[in-house]
Amino acid sequence: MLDVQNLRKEFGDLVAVKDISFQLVPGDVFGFIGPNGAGKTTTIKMLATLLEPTSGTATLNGIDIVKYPEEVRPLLGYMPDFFGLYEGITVREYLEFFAAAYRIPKSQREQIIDNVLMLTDLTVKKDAYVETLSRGMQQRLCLAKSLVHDPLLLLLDEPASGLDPRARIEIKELIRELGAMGKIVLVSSHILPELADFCNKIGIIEKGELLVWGAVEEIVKQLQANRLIAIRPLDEPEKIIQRLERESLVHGVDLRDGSVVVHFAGGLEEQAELLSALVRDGYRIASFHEEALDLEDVFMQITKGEVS
Amino acid sequence: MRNENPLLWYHLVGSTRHRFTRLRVVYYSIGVVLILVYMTTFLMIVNLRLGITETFFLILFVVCLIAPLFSYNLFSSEYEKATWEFLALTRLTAKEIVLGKWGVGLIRLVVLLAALFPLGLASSALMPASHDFMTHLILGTLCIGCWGVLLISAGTWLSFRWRSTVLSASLLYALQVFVLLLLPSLVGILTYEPWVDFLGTMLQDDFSSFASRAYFWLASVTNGQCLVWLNPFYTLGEMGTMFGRYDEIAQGMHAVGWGLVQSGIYLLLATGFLWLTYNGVKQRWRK
Repeated sequence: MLDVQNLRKEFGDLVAVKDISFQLVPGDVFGFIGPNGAGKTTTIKMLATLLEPTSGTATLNGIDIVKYPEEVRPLLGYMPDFFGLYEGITVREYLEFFAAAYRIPKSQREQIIDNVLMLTDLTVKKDAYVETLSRGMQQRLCLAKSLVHDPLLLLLDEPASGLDPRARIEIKELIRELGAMGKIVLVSSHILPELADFCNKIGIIEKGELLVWGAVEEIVKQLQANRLIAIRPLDEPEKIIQRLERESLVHGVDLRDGSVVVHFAGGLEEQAELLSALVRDGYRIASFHEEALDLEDVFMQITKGEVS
Repeated sequence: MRNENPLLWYHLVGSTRHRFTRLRVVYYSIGVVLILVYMTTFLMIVNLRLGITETFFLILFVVCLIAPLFSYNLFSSEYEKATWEFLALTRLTAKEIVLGKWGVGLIRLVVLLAALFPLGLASSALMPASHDFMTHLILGTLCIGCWGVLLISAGTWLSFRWRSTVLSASLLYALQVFVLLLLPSLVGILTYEPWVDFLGTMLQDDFSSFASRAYFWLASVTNGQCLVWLNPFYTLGEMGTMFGRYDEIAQGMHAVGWGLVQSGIYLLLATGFLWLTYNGVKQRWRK
């Protein structure tokens, strides 16, 4: 289990990460979302033991990452947003290098490397020189390297950046598979559709502050306390807008593509009453439905687009 | 069980092998040119009956030029290629990382010295029978080797400290020019003393006791002469006096451990740079 408690990082006067806390269990794929400069990479580097937090702590399987970085490192795999590879060696040699550096016994190395190559779909490239691989393949090789020692926690910082659509899909599939294998995967991105498909938990960070975190459905449900109702009137929409603005549960009304979008604070009962009242007052309504929030709506509702 | 160090393998075999495969023609051409230069030098030493001191100067000059190339990018390339984080997260200890990288430089230096050793051997074999050429050869080679080790250690630290290959290489060469050329001249100008005569005067003393030998070296620190005496070219030059003459000065040089002390100091400084690198890795990489 990964337990992050009040993790904070200051660089002089700048507070890059403000006391963030969250917990993840094996099998969780956690999408760490935030605009550029929000503090995602700083948080990941602290969790990767590469950066010492100013205050707060995090434990992985009960081991304090601040006090015992050397004990935690074998349990984590890290893939930074920008990385290089040792050139002049083949894919297999590259993985052998890291297997040796992680003290994997020689007798087990071949089997482990074969498995990792298969998982990352690099078996056909095992004898290719590292520098001849495409960007997408290099990303996969970096992921393969991070998996050689079978870590519990995988920290992936913008793993799909700079990849073509096909490589993006492939890396998403791979991350999904890793979650299914029981690993804790923390994957950061500023591109929401990238994460929406395969994360079961998300955390939204802005200006170094973790604004919200939890299961995707729960966050969406919390935010739907303020529902969006789309009404398509047959008559002029201005009249119905004036009528809606008199309702106490209506907090705002917008006009979008001929539909009236109502920010409504009531539940299903109140929705039904509102519809009945409108019909009773003689408004002709072609459609009346609640709009479902997706991850992008959640992000837009929560964040203000600021950086730390 | 002794842990293996993959860094040694990567730097010695991995990266070199592929570069050789890709630039086979270039490497073969360079190899042929080097062999020709080497053979010409060898013949020149034999035909011109070049003295052992001059040959040592030649070998030291080659070491000064080439040894920095063995270490100038050991750590900076990790930063420039953004691979250091991967290395930091492995189970390799700070000691293994530093010794692995430094060891690569050292192995290359040993190979270089082994290749240059026959030149020294040829010139010492041509010395008059009265000359203790074997001791001279061993002490001279030791002195050059220790200077090389100092360059490797300094290069390792500079490449870690400055994180830039270009900067660490430039600093290594610039520092050598300063220490080997400018500093002795500066000392000569400031003290108004020709250094050779100064050494001769200092060596007139009685060095029968350890205290007097220690005083000789300590005095060189206070009067600034150590900046000249630690210069490996000067050390090797005076070594010729030490082994070629049997007067009071030569005896004094033997007594104060001329050559041996300098080699020891080079090794001490090399250890210092190595410690700085180790400490840096421990702190910056949280090892």
